[in-house]
Amino acid sequence: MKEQEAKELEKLIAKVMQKAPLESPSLQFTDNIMAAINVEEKSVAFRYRPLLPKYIWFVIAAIVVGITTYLWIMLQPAPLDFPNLLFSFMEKSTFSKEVAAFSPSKVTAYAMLLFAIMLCVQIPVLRSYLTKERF
Amino acid sequence: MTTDQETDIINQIIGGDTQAFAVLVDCYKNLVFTLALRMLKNREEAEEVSQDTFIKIFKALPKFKGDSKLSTWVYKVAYNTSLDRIKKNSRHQNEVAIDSFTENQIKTLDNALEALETAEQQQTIQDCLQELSSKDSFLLTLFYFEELSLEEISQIVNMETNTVKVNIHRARKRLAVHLKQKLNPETIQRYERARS
Repeated sequence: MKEQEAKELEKLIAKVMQKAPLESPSLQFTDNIMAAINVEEKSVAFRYRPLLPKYIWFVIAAIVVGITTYLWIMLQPAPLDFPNLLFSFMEKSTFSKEVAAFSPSKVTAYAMLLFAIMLCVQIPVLRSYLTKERF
Repeated sequence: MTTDQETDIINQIIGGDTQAFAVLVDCYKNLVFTLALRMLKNREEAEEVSQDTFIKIFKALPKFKGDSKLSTWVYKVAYNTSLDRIKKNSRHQNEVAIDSFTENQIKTLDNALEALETAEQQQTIQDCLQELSSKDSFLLTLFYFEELSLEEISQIVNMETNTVKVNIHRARKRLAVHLKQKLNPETIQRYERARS
């Protein structure tokens, strides 16, 4: 008897639920979501990321410490005995002489100077442009 | 939408085609909104929660491994987001006591409901669902609209399959109680007299 009642109840509720319509959200629903997602995507694209990630800094630190320690051990007992180091080999090198003799023409010098000035101007201009884009 | 089509769309979205997500939204928005509305009982809040649900889904899409059906996952996110909102509102919902119905009483309810005009019937049912607790409403909607299996529903609401079965049975009884309260007592009496 109880089973029969449960079956009747099931039938009634199935009928009731079929008559309850599926609701629809507002017409701009999808557009609102897509707009929110696009804002989200943009903020992800402009999220600040350091040029060198943390782990690279750790690797650099490890290399520096490693080389320093290695040199320290290898050059014992007088690691900081700089006056004993000889730089006379540089005098023999033809390459260093050529570098020392190199004097750029005036045009090259002015071009380099202009390039440096333009670079200094471009950095703040680009920076302010990207900041405006972000917000 | 078939599973293959869904997989294609998911791959497109993960590949950077954000606009493809609109297809998924259009496919699931009505049911997600209905589920949220049945739980929250308020259209504005239901719309907000549905939007939050889809934004969460978009963000978590790369992590979706396809262990379950996409629909199951979507409804799970909708359920949890609605629950969070209910907790935030700390709204207390009254649950009616479960009446036991005889076979005849159920048939009387059925006849009394049939006696109403279609629009009136729909309004009465909507009112009853509105008064049902969030959980009951959610379970019945999933069970009858999506025709999901008890196993799938148990995955969505994070309950044992047997518990889901018992809960759905209780929800049916509670809905019948609300129906009895909403339907015109005179009509019910008339049908009861006709039966006796």
